[in-house]
Amino acid sequence: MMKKNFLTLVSIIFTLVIFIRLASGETGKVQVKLDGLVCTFCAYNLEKKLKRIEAVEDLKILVNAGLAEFKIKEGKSIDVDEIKKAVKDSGFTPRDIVVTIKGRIEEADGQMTLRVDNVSDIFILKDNKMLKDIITSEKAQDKIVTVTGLVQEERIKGHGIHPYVLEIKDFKFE
Amino acid sequence: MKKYIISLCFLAIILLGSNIANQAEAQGPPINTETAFVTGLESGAIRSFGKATRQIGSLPGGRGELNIISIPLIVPYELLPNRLVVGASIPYLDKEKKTTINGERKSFSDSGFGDLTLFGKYQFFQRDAHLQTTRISALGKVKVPTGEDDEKTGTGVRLPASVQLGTGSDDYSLGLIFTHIKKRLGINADLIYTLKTEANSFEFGDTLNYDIALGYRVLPVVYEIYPAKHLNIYLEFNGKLSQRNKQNDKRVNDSGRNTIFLSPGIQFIPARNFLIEASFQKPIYEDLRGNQLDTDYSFNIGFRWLLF
Repeated sequence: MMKKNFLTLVSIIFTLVIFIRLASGETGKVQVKLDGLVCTFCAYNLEKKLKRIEAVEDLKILVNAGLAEFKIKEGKSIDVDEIKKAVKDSGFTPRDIVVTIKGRIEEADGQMTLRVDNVSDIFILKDNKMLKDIITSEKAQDKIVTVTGLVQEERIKGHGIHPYVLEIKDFKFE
Repeated sequence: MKKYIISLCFLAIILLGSNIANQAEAQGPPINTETAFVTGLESGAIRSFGKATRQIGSLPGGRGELNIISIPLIVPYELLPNRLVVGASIPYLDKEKKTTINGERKSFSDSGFGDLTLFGKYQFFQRDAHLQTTRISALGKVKVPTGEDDEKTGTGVRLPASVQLGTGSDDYSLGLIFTHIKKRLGINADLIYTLKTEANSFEFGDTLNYDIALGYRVLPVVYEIYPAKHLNIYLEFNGKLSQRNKQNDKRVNDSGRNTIFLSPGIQFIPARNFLIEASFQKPIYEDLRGNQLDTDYSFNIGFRWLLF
């Protein structure tokens, strides 16, 4: 009986650990699309320069896809400009930056924003169908949502060029 | 000399053979041609290689042979990210010239460090697309006379200029480099003019290097995740046009040449910051002015190690 209980407990802990890992794996991820990724040793520079950024962990460089992807360290902010500079200094041309982050949708100064969990990052959300779907959803009230979106440099009224405009491509409520 | 070359060939075969056996899998920089890149290996690495060159042929009244082994150490440093690199190179040289003129045998040799070269490379054009890039850079070099240029034999006879370790002159080079890489195929080309100055009443002729290198990544066929082992092959055409030398302001008749080498090469990248490479150069065209030694071949094997 004792042995059976122990095995059940181990199974529950194991399932929980997998669940937590999967859940955390889906958030705090950055994908940087880059052009010109043809030089092996320049990829070494890219690896080195991106790893110097505090928020970067588990970096992978997918050469054929022209992509650098990494997880965002717990409690660290994403500095889009810093990422772009690291890519340029490594000898490549940064293109789309896609982030997957967890946060709460809020309204501030007439703009819909995403306040990222545990850090002070705020993304201004671009008005699109996905955003409307989130806002109109009953679940949206005070719920944490995981959003995947394209980071854009866009002129927002009263903010000039804001580097943290996010065009939502996908979302999921917690 | 022969023993040395055989040893180098043997070493190259062992290294390359073992690498292929280990499922060697890049598009790295060409071996004898410049690359327009100012990042990666061009920005914070050391490069060295052993290069053996042999010239042989008839001279008025006899025959001659010149063997040169050069082992340069090249260290670039990134001054402005993806824009400007500066660096220095210095060769260790071992030179030997043997002549038999009218039955009289002579042999001259010397070894030691040659002249120091300082260089800068500025990338002024870059256009990237998915898995392809086109870059153009300007290159400038200054060679300063740090090598011995007044070495004498035991009997006090001054060694010929071709055997001296340094030229004694300050030389200035300017050039343009073009690189285009698309997926597994790369093309590099350069055009570099070197202005030579006079020293010890002797002036080597100005030179124009014109090179083109075709590179192909043999392995990996599809480069999925960095880092991966790479095997590249190259076919280079390396041309050098040398004007006539001057002695006491007068052109030396038996000097000046235009040589084009066909240079197949192989490069293996076993780790994210290291490569080894080897190349054999054989002249496919040579136009000599007057009586001079023909270029027989040139062979080099070396490494590059990304440190910073």
